Amino acid sequence: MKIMRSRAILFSLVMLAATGMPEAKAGEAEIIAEVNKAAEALDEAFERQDADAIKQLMAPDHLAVTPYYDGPQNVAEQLATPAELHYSQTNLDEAAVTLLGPDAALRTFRARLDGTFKGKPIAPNVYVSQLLVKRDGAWMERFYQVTALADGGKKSSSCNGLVGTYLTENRAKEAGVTSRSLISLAGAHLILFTDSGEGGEAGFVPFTDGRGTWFCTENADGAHKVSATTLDFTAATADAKPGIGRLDFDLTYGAGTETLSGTATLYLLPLDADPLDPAMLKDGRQFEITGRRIGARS
Amino acid sequence: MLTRAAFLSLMLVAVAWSLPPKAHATDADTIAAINASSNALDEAFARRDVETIRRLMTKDHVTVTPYYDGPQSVDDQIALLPELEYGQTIVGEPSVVLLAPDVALRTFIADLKGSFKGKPLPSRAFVNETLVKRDGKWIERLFQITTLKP
Repeated sequence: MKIMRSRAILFSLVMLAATGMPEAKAGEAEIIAEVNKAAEALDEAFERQDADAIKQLMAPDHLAVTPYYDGPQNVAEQLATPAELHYSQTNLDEAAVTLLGPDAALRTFRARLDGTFKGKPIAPNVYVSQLLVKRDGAWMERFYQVTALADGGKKSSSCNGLVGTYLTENRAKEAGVTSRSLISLAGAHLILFTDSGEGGEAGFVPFTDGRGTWFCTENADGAHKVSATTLDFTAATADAKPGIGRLDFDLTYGAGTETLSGTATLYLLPLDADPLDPAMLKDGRQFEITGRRIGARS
Repeated sequence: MLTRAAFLSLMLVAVAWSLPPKAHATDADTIAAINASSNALDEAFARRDVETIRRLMTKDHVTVTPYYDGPQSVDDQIALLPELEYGQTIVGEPSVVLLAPDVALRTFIADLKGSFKGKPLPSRAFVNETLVKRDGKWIERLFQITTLKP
């Protein structure tokens, strides 16, 4: 009886070895999707400041550690802080999920944060790690840690290759080309923006050139991501008061073609508003951007 | 007079009574093994013992600190060893939580002393060491430091 049982186990193991691998990989992909879903749902709950959902998606003994909080924060402390914390987050690479065990996962990514905590600016370039655990069949976050990276965590030497001026075509969703721009990525993170519609196109009042800051990160696969923000001023007209325009760029650099592609989101604010406060950024209008570097004649 | 069956039952009850402390001891043993592995890795870094460092870290280990230029692989860290002077004094006791039977989160607050590329390290930091048990041994998978306000 004992021998039979051993043989049965051996047979099962052989069957697993023969057929189990593809299934195991498929299973892993599904688990990773579940982990990402739980993490994204938690981000959305924080955005909505939905305390019930936040509690449901975090372990009761959850801890968050960031450079802007005053030390490690438990769930209750985190729920008490949203009113003092204003930030928008742009993930600079795809989240990497590693299954550490059957019921534990590590999720990491780099991000750019724009915002303030208790009125003070928070470190913009960060590395985020999340430890998630599966409890009663549901994935929830147990630990969240943010580390501010030195010099943006980027390999500046490779990002220097992006410096230059690009001629772009800008398209509003479901529309043709709405304008063309010159975008200059300069040293010291300076970005300059000039648009063909500055004189006042249909639906837009006249506006000035934009200036701002750009950052670049290099993904593990060598791709360069550019995130940038520019500000400009809109002119007073008979129908509109003067204002401030903010453009948030999320672009990818194609090294082989020396091109930029991605999106720019335009926010229009009253002149006395704070354009650097993420809470003020509402009703953004998104444009798709493609551009190529202007080369010098040899 | 006790029958043999009754005696056995009493023995089983006695064993059952003795199990909780035993289980507790097993957790304590696990936590001790995790702490021992972490301490051994710290010592290996202090000695710049590359072979031991590699043995006590997973191949896909990542280190993230405010002073490195982004996340570092095992090879990156070993290459940077000559430029790092690292000393830490742990404030209080490290906390070790078993997230799963083979996954542990070890955290503590530390006062750091030293420099990287000549620049001083942040004075106070929160340290996360995530360890996994592979082939019966606890090894580190992630080391992450976040600067705390002094």
